[in-house]
Parts: sequence; C-alpha cells; structure tokens
Amino acid sequence: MKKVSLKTGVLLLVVIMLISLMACSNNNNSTNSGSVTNSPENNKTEENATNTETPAEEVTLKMYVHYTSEDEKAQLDYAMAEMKKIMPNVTLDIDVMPQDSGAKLKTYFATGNLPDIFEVAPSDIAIGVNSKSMVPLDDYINKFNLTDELTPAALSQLEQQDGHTWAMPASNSNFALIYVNKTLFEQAGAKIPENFQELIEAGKLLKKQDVVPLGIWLKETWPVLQLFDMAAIPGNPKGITALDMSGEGTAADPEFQNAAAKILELAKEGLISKDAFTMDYNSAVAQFESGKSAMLMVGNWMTQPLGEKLGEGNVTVLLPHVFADAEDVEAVKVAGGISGGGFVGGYAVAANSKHKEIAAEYAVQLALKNAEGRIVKTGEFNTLLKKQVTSEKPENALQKEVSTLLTSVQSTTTMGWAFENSKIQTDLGNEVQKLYTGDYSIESFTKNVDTMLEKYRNE
Amino acid sequence: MNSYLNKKTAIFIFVFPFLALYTSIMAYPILQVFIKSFYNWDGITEPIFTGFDNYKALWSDPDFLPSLKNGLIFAGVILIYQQGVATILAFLFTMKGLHLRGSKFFKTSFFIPVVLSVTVVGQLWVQIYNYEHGLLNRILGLFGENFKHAFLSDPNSAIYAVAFTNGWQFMGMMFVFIYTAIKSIPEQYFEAAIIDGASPFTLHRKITLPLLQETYKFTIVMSITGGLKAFDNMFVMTGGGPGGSTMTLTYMMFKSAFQKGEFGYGSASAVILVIECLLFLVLINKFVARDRIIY
Amino acid sequence: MIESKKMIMKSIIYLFTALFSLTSLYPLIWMTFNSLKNNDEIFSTNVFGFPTHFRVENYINAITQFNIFMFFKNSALVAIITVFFTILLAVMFSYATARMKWKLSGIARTYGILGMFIPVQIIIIPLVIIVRDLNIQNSLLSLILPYTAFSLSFASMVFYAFLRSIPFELEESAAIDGANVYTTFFWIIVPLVKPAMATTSIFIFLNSWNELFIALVLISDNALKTLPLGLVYFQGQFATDWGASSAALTIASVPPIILYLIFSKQVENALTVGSAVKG
Repeated sequence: MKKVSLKTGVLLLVVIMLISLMACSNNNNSTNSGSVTNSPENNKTEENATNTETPAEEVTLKMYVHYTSEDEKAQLDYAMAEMKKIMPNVTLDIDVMPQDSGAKLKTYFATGNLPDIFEVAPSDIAIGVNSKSMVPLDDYINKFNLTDELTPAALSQLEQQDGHTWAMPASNSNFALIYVNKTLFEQAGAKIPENFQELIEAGKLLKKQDVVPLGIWLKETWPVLQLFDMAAIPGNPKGITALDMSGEGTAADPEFQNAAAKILELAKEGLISKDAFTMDYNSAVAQFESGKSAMLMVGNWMTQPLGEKLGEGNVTVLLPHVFADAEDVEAVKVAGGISGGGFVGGYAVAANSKHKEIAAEYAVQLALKNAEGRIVKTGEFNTLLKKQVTSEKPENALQKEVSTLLTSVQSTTTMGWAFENSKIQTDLGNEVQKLYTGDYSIESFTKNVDTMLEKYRNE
Repeated sequence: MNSYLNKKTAIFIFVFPFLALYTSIMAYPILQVFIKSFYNWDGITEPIFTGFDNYKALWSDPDFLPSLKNGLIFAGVILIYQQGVATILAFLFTMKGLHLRGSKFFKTSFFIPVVLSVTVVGQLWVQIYNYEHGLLNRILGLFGENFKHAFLSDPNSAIYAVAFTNGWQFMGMMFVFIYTAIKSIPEQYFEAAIIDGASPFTLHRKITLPLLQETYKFTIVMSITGGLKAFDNMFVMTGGGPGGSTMTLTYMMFKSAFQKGEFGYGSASAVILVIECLLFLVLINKFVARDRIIY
Repeated sequence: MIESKKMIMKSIIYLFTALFSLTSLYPLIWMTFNSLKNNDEIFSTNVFGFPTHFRVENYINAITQFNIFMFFKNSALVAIITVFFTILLAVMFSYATARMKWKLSGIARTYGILGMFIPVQIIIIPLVIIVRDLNIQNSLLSLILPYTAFSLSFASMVFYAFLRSIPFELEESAAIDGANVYTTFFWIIVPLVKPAMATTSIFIFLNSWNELFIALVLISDNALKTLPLGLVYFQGQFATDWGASSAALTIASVPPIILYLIFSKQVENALTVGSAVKG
C-alpha cells in the first residue's frame, strides 16, 4: 500500500515535470527562432555588401570545437575577443568537443545537422565534401585577402579537395620531439644520444637507475605512429606520409623496414615501459614531469610547460636523427627532416547552416585569430602567420632552443592524427603498435600493411 | 475460471506499449543495421550494395577471431566470478543461525562499485595492474621480481585482466538479486527442513538452489550478455591493445564505424554479435530448468 | 567444542567479508582521494595514497565552473522518468508473458530479452536519425525514450522470473471473488513484485544516471546536458583534468548511493512481510 501511494505521488510529479519540460524546451526554441527569423534580412544585406558589412542584426553561431583545457580556452577566447572588434554582432555558442574518436562529429555528418562552424581533422574533409555538408571557403578567404597573411607553408595547406579550401587552418603546425631530462641522464652517467646506438646504450644505463628510458603512451594511435615516423625519417624525410593515401611508399621500402626493426629493438632492450600500452596522455606527461621517465615523445606544444616545470637548463630535445646509425647521422642532419607539420586541423562551415555567409566570413577570420591566440597565450611556434607575433609568456630557455631548431627545418611530415585517409591511419596504427611489444615479425608487419595499403589506395 | 487470463484485449493492452517502444527504438534500428551490413557505407553518403563482401572481409580480418574469442573469455570470466562470489556471499548473509554484525554495512559496500562509472573503476584497475607501481605488482614483488607481471601489457593475460575488472565491479549487482531472491523464499520451507534435521549446507543445496533457478536464469544471462557485448572496459583500459589482444566484436564495430567510416563493415560485425547472442540465449534456455518448483 | 569451532569459523568468515568489503569500497575512496589531488599525483607520484595537499579547489571548480546542479537536474529528471516508464511497461509485459495464456507468449518473451544483447554503439546512427525524425532532439525526451527502450529487456527478464514464482492459485481465487484481470493485476500481483520493482529501479536508475554514449551523441544543447556528458567537459584535446573531474564524479555518486540505501531498506521490509504472507 505504501508503494502504491508512493507510485501515485511519483506519477503526479512525473506528469508535472513532463509538462514543465515541454514548456522549457519550447522556450529554448523560441529564443533560437529569434535569431533564425532575422536571417533572411541578414542574407539580403550581405548580398548587397561588397566589404565586411556588419548587418544590424545579432547573430549567434554554434561552434563545435575543443574548448576544455586552460590553453584551449585561452586561445579561443582571445580569438573571439579579436573577432568582436571585426564582427561585433556575432556571438559564438560553443559546443564542447569531447575525446570520442570523432564519433559525435560523424553523427553530425550522418544526420545533416552540423553546427554552423566546426573543427575538423584532415580525414574529415573527404567525408564533408563527399556528403556535400561543407561550404567551400575560397571566396571568403579571398574576400579578406587572407592569403597575404599566410606563410608559404600555410598556403600549401589551403589546397584541399577538388582544388578548393574547405577548412581554414586554425593552428600552427605541430611537431613531435623527444624531450630529455638532462638531470636524470647525468645521474645515470649516460650521454645525450646522437645516434641510435647511443640511444640504446643510454637506455640501458637509465634502466639500471629504475627510470623508464623513453616515455610514450600507446593507448592512442597517434603517438604509436609518431615515433615510428621519427624512426623512418632518417631513411626518408617524408616519413609516414609516404604511407598515406597519396604517398608512394610501401612497408617493404628500406626506410620502413629499418624503422620497424628499430622500434622492435627499442622494445626488446626495455627502453619502453611495460605499462606503455595502458598509459594515456596524462599518465605519460605526469610520468615525465615527476622524473619517472628520462625522455618523453610528445608534441611541441609542451615546450613551454615542460621547460617551466623541469627548470631552465634541465631539458633538451632530440630530433629524428637520433634514430639514424652513427655513419648516417651527419647526412640526416643536413637533410633537416622533422616529424610533424602539415595540416593539423581547421574550421569548416556547415552547408546546412542558416547563416552560411556570416558563418563563413566569421570562420575564416576566426581561424587565423585562433592561431594567433595560440602563439600569444601558449607560446606556440608560429608556422602559419607571416607577421611577427609575440607571446605573453616570457620565452624560457627550452623554447628558445626549440625555436632555433624549428627554423632550420627543411622538410616536414605530419602528425599521427592527421592522415588524409582515416582507414589507413587506424589500420597502420594497429600494426605498428604490435611492434612495440618487441615480439612481432617484420614479415607479418610488412605483409599486413602492404595488403591494407593496396586495398585502401585502390578503393 | 482462468478464462480471463486469455482475454485478447487484456493481453493486447498489457503487451502493446512495451512492444511499440521496444520495436521502434531497438528492433527497427537493429533491422537497419542488419540490412546495411550488406552494403559499403560510410554512414553519410549513398550506400553501395556489396552482398556478402563485408562478411568475407570479416572472416579474413586479423581482429575477427580474437574478438570472438575475447567475447567468450570475457563472458566466461565474469560469469564464474560474479555468480560464484555473489552466491557465496548471499548464502553467507542468509544462513540461518549465522548473524554477522554490521551486515548492512557489508551489503552496501558490495554494491558500491556498481554505482561508480566504468571509467573510474577501469582507471583504478589500470593503476592497480601497473607494472611499475601498481598495488598488485608491489605485493607480488615482495615474493621476488619474477612474480611481477605486466597484466595489461601481455597480450596473453590482458583480456583476462580486463574481464576480471568488470566481473569484480558488477558482482554486487548479482549479489543484490540473489540475496533478494533467497530472502523471498517463504520461511516455512526452511523451517520444515530444519525440523527434519537438515544442516545449513543441505538447506542451501536442496531448497535454496533449486528455487533460485529462475533468478539464476536471468543473472546468468546478464553475465553472459555483458561479456559478449563488452566494450567500455577495454575502451577505457587498453584501447583494444596491446596489438588487438583485447578487441571485441563491439569494439570492432566502433572502430570501423567511427574511426574508419566503414558503417557497412561495422554493421557486419554487429550482426555476428547478435547471432552469437541468440545462440547463447537458446543454449541457456535449454540448460537451465524451466519448470516451476512446487512444494 | 562445537561452540569454539563455530567461533573460529565465524571469525574467519568475518575476516573474509571484511576484507572483501574494504576492497569493494576502495574505488570510492580512491576517487575521493583523486578529487583532492592533481594530475601528477593521480598518475605518477601518489597513485594510491592519501592526498598530500587537499586541493579543495577541484570541488569549487566543479560546482562553479561546471554548472553541476543543472546537470544534476537533467540527469535526475531523465533517470526518474525512465525508471517509471520502464517499470510500468515491463511489469505489464512480463505479466502477460509469464502468466497470461496466449500462443505467442514464448516468442514475445524471447523477443523482449534480445535487447540485452545489443550494445548501444551498434544502433546509434539509426537512433540519431529516429530522434531527428521525431523532432525531439531539443528535449530530454530524446534520452528518455532510448534509455527506457534499452532497460525494457532487463526489466522484463527480472519481472518474468519473479512473476513465475507466484502461485497461479492467486488468480484463480481472485477470479472466484469476481475480480477482472486489471484489478487482479493492480491490487494483488503488483504489490507482490514490489521487491523486484525496487531492486530493478535501482539498476535502471544507475544505467540512466551513468550513461554517456547516447547522451554524448544526441545532446548538444548545453542546457540539456546530463552529468556524464558534463564530465566530458574536463577532457581536453590531449590532457584531462582528473582532479576536477574526480570531484565532480564524487558529487555525482552521492544520489545513487542514497537511492540504494533507501530502496534496499524498502526491499528488505517488503521481503520480510512478503515471505510471511506467502505461506
């Protein structure tokens, strides 16, 4: 009996809630429709405008983007503030992008209700273009003469699919480096390695000190591919890009055979922690920052934080030439190859957007402002913008070192999450990860990878 | 007398709401997935009919057989652990003549892991299994360096370690069901048996266990289905690795559909999973008794 | 002799259960510890131990920046409504398959259980399209419907088991007294399955409360986000602030635990009453 009256009570409560729920969502809809009914007028004024016309109406654009960590927020906030000066009537409603392997973005594509502006990785462009969900940005880029603001490297990133630009680069190129804790090396009596043999030697000495020689996390695909890329660069400055969709390499090529062998050796000699397979980004960084690993392979965005955390003079970086054999090192250094670069992400505009014109105008400019924000707020290395941008944060010694290194770079590859073809990226990552167990035959690796490349390149 | 039990309208009213919601939200999408498994589809553009190609590709996919195997291992591990430990604990707490103080506290504590998200529990166990500083290896290390083991990084042990985490977390759920079921057995049955001189163990063997069959039927189904469709644990703990040794059919589906944009192919692995589950359903029905016990 | 043997056994059992209990509680303790640490401590320097500094700012962060009470409200609303409708639909359905006589009852029952085998990830795309077609993507209904549908199989299975253990004579005597099927169901059968309903409610609530994947994909309006979805907020492109998200998670664990305490008490009461009555 008690349960019955409890049930009726709950029933009543539920009915009341449902009604208020419905009323609530209707309210939401009506505030949104406020801006929607404005758009026909907006479009009219835009079509008559020849320069950045600021229509009188307030427009709210929805944007799906990374916006969680301190850095991400600082950068985008900076960009939005800058944009307020240029297009004051536009407000951004941010839809936070989670770490979900792009699942949500794919469902947005599938249902055709993408947010007005959204952040994409290179492999998403094909999806967007093929499903006609994206607006080509060429005209808008030209409208504001944005090409004048870009470095040559950045300009080459503008030609995407079908000769158009679909996503405006919003960040500087990232590079992968191996950060070295000099103090730990000293304590182990190890020399900062100049070539692969020295790397292995240092590793053995570090292990004796109960320190993980090379910190890396293998739960995600990109670090798996990134280190492999570094190992391949001595043989081919194009690195893993040679295995991508438009690349011409195969796993059987000598540079990749060597790279595979080197990864296997790293694993067999114990330079890679036994826990690497279950570590994620946070664990690996924490491990290095707390002095439990002597080296860490990570992106150059960590330069400022690591330099600061471990102290001036205690950190240095290694470039891919550390994977070369002693006799080849000089030649590799001269070739100046680095792991990373390329097109790491950008802002695209949805074809289903109710404010296509405004969104596109906003997006292309926001993108560059975001890249600028990355430099100003987090001291990122400028590869996108021609102009000089100074960072708010004082440059530490490590940053100076890295900047100098990066300016002498001759060729770049790409970041492990930025393949043109996501199928190749996933399957290659799968295969390369097996090498890290130290117990995988190169024959199987070669066979599997080449079968896979054959299949996807001919699809 | 029982005539109203087969009144058509009544049956319809009782059954329709369930079936309507269930069919539109569960069955209809499954049907779509089944159909799409015969296509090459990226989820967004036009699907292209390819017949059984996806299934053929599945057969030669290096991840496929390990995934099948892992689903079975997972199901097996959690079945044994969950049903076993839950039964023992439930018996302990319902044994006549054994009154444990603080039993309320104990019972609640068993349930706590169930309340937590799989992410939290998964992360904790990743730390526990950690080779360098994990709790488990620190204890094993006391016996000697050779006793340490990289549970999650060894392709042979990884799936067992991951499965155990899930088994451990949800044992509390089975405990609640079995305990509740035992408690709802009328006292008279037990009293009659005690008068006849039965010991606590015989009590459980001859009376409790048979009466629990219906309960076990669904707890077993829960364990097995949880195992076959496992995904969350490996997603959080190992990312399917090392080297694909903790892949499952669901993970294959997720990877294909969301990381590679191959929905048709992903649907094929999903269909295999459903078929596998149907087989188990049939098996379970056959092997666990169906008749009601009347005393 | 027998007494001391009993004592020893009892102490051993006590030890065993106490140990087990402690290990079961540890994840909650660990999570609470984490909520007072930062990433370095959590992942490297002080993984299992007591926090060195009590970083209460994690909690302040969670409550102020994170809008935790709005997420709470949404999660609670969705969970309660889901529980209500699942139980309602499932008890009716299970009653029909367990005790009513019709030819397709076996098939219907098996059909209903199939849902247990389906992981959410498989049907997410068709589901999203259905939600869009029904035009409910701007309301919590877009979560309630799938959550209910997904819990139906589980609930129907549990109720079927309980309903089968009730003697059929009950309906016979009710019929003799002139009751029709609806009255019998509502006034006689339902009270008898109260323990099952209470137990199942806890689990349906939990599934809804902790559910992430569907919410992630279906909800983009900030005002509609549920707790697990809000927690995603702490995940950056690379790093995740685990101190802060642990604080939020700890706060989020409180309602289910309280609910369990309330419901399990109800279940105990119902059972002790029930088993006396049944004979």
